[in-house]
Amino acid sequence: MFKALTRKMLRIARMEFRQTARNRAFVIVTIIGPFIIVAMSVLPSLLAMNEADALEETTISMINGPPELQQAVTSALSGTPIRIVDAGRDEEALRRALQNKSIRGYLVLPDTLDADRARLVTSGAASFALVGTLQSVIGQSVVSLRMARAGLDPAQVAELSRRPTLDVSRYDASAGVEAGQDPTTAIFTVLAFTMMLYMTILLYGQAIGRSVLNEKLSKTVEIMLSSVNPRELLVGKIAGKAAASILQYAIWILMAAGFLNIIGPLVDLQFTLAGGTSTYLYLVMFFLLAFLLYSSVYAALGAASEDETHLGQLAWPVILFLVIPMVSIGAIATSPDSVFPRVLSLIPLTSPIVMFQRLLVGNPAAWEVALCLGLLLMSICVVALLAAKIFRVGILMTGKRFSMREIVRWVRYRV
Amino acid sequence: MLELEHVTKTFGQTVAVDDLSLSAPPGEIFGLLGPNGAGKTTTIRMIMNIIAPDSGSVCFRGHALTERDKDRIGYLPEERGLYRKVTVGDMLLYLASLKNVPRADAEPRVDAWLERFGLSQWKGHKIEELSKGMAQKIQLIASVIHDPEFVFLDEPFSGLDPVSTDVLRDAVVDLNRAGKTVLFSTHSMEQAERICHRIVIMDHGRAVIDGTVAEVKERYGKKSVAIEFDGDIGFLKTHASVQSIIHYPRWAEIELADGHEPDELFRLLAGRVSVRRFEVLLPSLHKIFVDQLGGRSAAAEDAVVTSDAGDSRGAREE
Repeated sequence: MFKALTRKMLRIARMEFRQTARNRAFVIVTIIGPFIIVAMSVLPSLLAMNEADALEETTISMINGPPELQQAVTSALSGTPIRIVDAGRDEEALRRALQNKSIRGYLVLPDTLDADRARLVTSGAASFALVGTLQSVIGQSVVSLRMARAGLDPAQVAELSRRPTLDVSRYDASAGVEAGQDPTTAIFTVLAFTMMLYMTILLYGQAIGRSVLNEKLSKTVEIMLSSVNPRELLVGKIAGKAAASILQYAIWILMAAGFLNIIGPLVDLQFTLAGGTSTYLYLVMFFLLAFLLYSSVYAALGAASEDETHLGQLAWPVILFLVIPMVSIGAIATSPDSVFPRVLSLIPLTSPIVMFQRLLVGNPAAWEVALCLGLLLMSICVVALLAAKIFRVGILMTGKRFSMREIVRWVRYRV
Repeated sequence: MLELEHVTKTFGQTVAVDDLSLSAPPGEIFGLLGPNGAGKTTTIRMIMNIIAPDSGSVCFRGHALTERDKDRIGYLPEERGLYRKVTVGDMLLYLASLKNVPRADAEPRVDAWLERFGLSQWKGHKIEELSKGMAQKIQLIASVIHDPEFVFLDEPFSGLDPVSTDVLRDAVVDLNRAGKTVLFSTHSMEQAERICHRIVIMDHGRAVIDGTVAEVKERYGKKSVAIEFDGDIGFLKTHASVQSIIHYPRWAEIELADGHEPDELFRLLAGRVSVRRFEVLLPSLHKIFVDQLGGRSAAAEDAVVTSDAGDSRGAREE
């Protein structure tokens, strides 16, 4: 008996897989996906590596400050694309200059060497490179002048205040190797993979929702239910989509590995994956867990909705949980083991993405990972059961738009 | 054998099926009749175990229907459709596989059925390219491709042109000849009368009439006579032996009051008008349906209007 049921489920899964994998959109996304992801992860880090060159030709003006400071700043900037011009003696004149675009910004230097503040006013947003360069030049100049005032030899000051650079690398315990990395690589790796997880979970979740809804709209559902029970239909559909998504991920990982290991060295690409090879394993594992959780929810919503717009309306609270890790990405990537990411990495709806982010760049305790997986598996079971119930009621309901509250009430129905 | 005992199903405030009992003996064609909203589809869905009754029991071969029994049942739902992007052949093979039919058995059956309905050349086409009638034939094939013992058809003839209706009806009769038990629902009395052995007429969730077609006609049918004549038969309208009369200038259908025989009418007419035809009619299920349910539901009202349209004096003079 059980065997017969499982066979039918597999047949539904196979049909769903075929319908998904033969779809033109699936083929296109599978082929183009890696290029988008590579572009998203590699290009920014390439740009970041050439940050000094990224400083554009900029004209600014400068007022206030002791003459020796103005002189020091001007001479320090002579080797950079930043040009100092005289555009006025007071801020009013400088603002007019900003307005007619003859200068990009102006510096208001401190009145004395003892003051701790200088100001930069720009039209439009100031680039990181501009702010960084000015900050370091002004700082260096003020400190040098203060030291000179205290009677020290400027050459000696320069020699003594030279700082060593810091090379950051990461030891990958699973591979036993130390890989060079810089914080920007980590952030971009997290960003790229989070985007990938977010996009695929959302796309596949919606695909399941639409597939179930389509069963209802095409009116095939009763024919199906005359052969199989709703649980087989639900599980078969999800399994078929899961198989299609694994195929897609496998192709992507092969393409990514090929790109990084074969094409990468050829073009002398200075990019490594934060987290190393285990990243791929985590990626697929957390994708599958998130997929199971979200697809159950989407299947229930698909069964409960009347058309695609209605499905979209019902699904927005779900998408919210997917968006939280996206908008918190900066906070999570820079301090992955602080309280906020730790909490998010345990809440089932956000945990697949956030725990993955933490594994990538943070250092979660083993018990946290175990608890996260346990909670996730448990909630997948609970949500799947509730979803099956809603699915069973909803799939036969037509002609009315049900609210979320009514849909939740279906869980108690006898069907 | 299929048996329903005291089955009740309520949706919110609406009682869809109310204390319904029926039994469909093996090898017969069973008709579930009634106007729209009578509870036919809900009944069939409960038989198929797609929805559960609030109370009462549905027994299939002596036990509650299991998932396994589904492989012996063919079902054509009222809400029916197929995957639009899949070819006719693949769709039928897929649905057969969900009934555990081995592919080697399914392929020749698909070909044979497509041949029978003249759809062989559509096998490789996608469902979305089919007309509605064609799709309905494919759906009927889907419901019988696994050679089931029982076939449940919910409104199989709705929306079909007369030719397709005949083709489908012949197929249903052939299934029955091959030993299948067929249960189908319809609001078309003509279809039921032509092919059913046994019927239940439902209204507002209740069975109002049931039995074999012959029994029902015997029990509920009034004796009617059709006459063609020259002359004036206005005097019949008030005569005690006449229950009602549908009167056209040279033709009339007369329903006799209880306890009166056609002979009496014949004697009344003799000498007064020249009778060119005198035929004792069996009551149609349609007439019984309208008589029993008339005025009780909007759908029945519709039936009265359409069947008797054209008679300015009105047919119902009770």
